[in-house]
Amino acid sequence: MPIAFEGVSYAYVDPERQAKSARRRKRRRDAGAIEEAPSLEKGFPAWGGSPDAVWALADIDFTLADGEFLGVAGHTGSGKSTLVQHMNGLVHPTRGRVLFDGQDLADKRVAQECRGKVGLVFQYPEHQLFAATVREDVAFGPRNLGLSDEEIERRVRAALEDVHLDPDEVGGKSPFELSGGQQRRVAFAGVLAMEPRALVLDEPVAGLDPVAREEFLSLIEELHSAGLTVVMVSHSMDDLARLADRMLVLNEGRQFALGTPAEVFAHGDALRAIGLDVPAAQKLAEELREMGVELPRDLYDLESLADDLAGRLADSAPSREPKVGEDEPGRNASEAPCAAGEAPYA
Amino acid sequence: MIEFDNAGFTYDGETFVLDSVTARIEQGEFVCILGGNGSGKSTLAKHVNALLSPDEGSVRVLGHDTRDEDSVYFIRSQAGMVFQNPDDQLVASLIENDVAFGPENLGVPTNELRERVSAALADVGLQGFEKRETAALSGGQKQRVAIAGALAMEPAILVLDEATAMLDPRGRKGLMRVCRTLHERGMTIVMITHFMEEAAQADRVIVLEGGHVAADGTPADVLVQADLLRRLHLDVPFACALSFALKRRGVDAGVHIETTSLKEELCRLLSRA
Repeated sequence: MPIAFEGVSYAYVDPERQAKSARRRKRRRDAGAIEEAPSLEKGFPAWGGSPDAVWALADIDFTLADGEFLGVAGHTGSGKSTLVQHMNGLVHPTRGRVLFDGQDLADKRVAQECRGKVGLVFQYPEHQLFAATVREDVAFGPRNLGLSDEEIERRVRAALEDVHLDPDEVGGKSPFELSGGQQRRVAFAGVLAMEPRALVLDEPVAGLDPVAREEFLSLIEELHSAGLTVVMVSHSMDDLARLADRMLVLNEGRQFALGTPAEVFAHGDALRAIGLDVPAAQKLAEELREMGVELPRDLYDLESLADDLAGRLADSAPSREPKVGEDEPGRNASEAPCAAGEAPYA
Repeated sequence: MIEFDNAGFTYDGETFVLDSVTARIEQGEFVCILGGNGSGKSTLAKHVNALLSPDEGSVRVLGHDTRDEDSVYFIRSQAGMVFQNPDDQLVASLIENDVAFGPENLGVPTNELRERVSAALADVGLQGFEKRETAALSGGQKQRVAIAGALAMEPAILVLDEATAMLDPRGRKGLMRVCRTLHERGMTIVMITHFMEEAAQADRVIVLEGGHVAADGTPADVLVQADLLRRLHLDVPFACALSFALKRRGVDAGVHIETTSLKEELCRLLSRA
């Protein structure tokens, strides 16, 4: 159990000061000045929703298992980045506590220790590259740990190899000579060189083209299967559905849903109501199901949807390939999922 | 109206980031520019409002050559640009000041300035936000303020350079809606994006590879070329990928770029099955 959140709430503004200013407003109101006194805790969304709202996180409670892949979703301003910064003690909860290996991160020593073990990769990490050479940039973290030169060199090589960069080829280059995708790999390597146990990624594939995106996602998958605990924040529900063991959905700073992707995406309407989507295949499956097409699986991706649809259509178009998956129920010709002429969607 | 005639451009004098690009974009078209990282998309976009001018060939915008220094102001007033990072392009702390920044520099009188600001904010769905602070906006709202800033210049062309890349799905949809509304009113939209679902909504798609045009046509023609797109580090839209996956399993549901049309076809097939 590397990371646990226990009733974590976080306010960017000190609630005590807020309470004081609320009292001041009340006095003015009592004295006859007309103004709206916004409620801080009730009825207002958290950070980003309204300038008067203060709770960026409210009552977050979950435990991350060792080696787990947790996906974090939520629209802009839902508290994702604030949550991520709690994971290695960069910010401390206003209420509740964050535990790392059972120790409270509010303790500075624990937080210090944890920072080496929980690698945080921010959005657009390549913007943080600074050194003259790739090798120096990756070595920056380990060097600050006070390691020996040999150990630093070993870690730099290993980290660059982990992100599929050749240490001999790019090590001596300036990171700014590299392509955007390679720069991001270097920034990644800088975090891996700290040999963290958990990797926290904030939108790791934003701004990459589809192929670079795919390469990066498989890289993350590789690191995870090598035993790293991964927390990934993403707007792409397709990516989360594919990679995550469990998903945490945030809305207005609160824990909106926590469960396996299948559990979370079973409530497509609820997700849409808070401005999120479901994966494209799942969405289409859901819409077809509403029109009476029987699709038995909880969670669909492109291939499994194609499998089941091909199974259902096998009567009209004979398939050359053996069908994958379980027996399709209700595959008889008399069942017409949508009557001819009927509008298929509203 | 935007004419690239064998345009070439190099940053370092050696590698040509744009390599004899020839393309013509008509008034009122909605064009998406696609291409992998480093294919020259942003460089191309910067040629449309004369931020860059070609080293070879020529680029003409509304009949004016972008290399002609006397035309630069005219071209910039006619081609508004919106960039990727919402935090990089807002200049003022109040929304109305930010939107007014461009036209104010053109010397637009105060009364008209107010009208333009309100009209531009209304166009992007932010009526009444004049006195709000830019810092308190979401990323999607910031991008819409950036568009409003461009619209207040009353341009004929709007260029969006990966303006949706940093937005969440809701912000992206909002931005696309704004673009389509402007397009319906006759504005020329040039949009650079990595999202195939957005490209599917354009009139025309231009795909760049290594600085030259690799494909140019309607989304229905271009976005279904899976091999080409894959080679260029791009993807096909979801509906198209599913059409192909079905085809591999012996089911011909046609090739679709939009999910709604694929769904209709599937429904038709399933009701026959």
